[in-house]
Amino acid sequence: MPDTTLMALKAAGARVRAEGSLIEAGVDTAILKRCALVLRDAGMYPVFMTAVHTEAGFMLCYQFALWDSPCRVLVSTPAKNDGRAVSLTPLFPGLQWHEREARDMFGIIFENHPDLRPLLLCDEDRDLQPLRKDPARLKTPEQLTRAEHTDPDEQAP
Amino acid sequence: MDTPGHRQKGCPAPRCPVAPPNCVQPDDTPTLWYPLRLAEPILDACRANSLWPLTFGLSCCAIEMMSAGMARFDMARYGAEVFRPSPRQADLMIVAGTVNKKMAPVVQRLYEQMADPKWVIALGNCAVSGGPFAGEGNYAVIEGVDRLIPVDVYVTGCPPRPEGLLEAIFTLQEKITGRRHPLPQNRHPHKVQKR
Repeated sequence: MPDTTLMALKAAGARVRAEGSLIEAGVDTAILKRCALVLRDAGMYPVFMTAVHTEAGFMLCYQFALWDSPCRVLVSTPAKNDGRAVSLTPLFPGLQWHEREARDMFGIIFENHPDLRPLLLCDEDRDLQPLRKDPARLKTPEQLTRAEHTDPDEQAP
Repeated sequence: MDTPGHRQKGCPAPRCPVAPPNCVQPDDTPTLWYPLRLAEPILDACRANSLWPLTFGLSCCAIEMMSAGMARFDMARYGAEVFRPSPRQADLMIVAGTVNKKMAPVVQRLYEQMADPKWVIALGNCAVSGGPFAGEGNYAVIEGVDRLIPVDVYVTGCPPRPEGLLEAIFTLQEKITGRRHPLPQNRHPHKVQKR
């Protein structure tokens, strides 16, 4: 990944931590779209998108990669407090099914998504939200982030 | 105390609740079709030796079904190799895998689209009872395909071996005709199949 893209991500307001070709970016909801545009302009494509239910609410996790060089960007962003989120489908059409799946499993409503019909659940179960956790078993986002490569002195994203 | 009812000649139900003029139970009175009914055992033997399964794999058990159809196990030896792409042409549905709630209406519709007489084999633990998915917290998997459609033969295993599917075909042939190997050429040369 060119350093200019990294700089552009930081300039957009992302908290970026790079380990070789692996880049983790913590992003606020307001600047998610701007960061996604930066990644799209760098020629990256989305690998997957999913959500995690934590004590602080839902975390949306995106992974982006490059076709021609080894590089992964993990973008995590909190959903809004009312359980809604910004859809990236207008930028990356391939994310449409991933966001539909997150809508099925967690009930996150993606704004500006073209088609939020249930993908995996049947129609009568559309509000089942099976992956929402029992409130007593929720963990903090810190407990759920990768710990094995983390330098304790370094600021977590 | 006797329940109300009647006994019509040839009626299989001993006490049929339907009064004679409306009773639609078949009777054995010779009609124009009587010779055809006498030929029924022959037709059954033909059906049993020419089961046409629906090409219908729902998950990993379908791999075993394909294996049973290919050269090593070769279901063609028993007349059941013509996998049909359309339910209109099939008379055997092999439910090979997990039936989930989203898929259930499709399974039901395919079964209803098959022409009579038709049979169903539930292949593998998922189709038999939900398998590993049956348990607390299951929200998506139908726990046994017999909750949707009638099943003739159950094959357990996760997945079952292709021999299991072959044995299910034999059992189905026995169910259709009353004999384990309705046509002698299907019999193994050794006396291993004696039951």
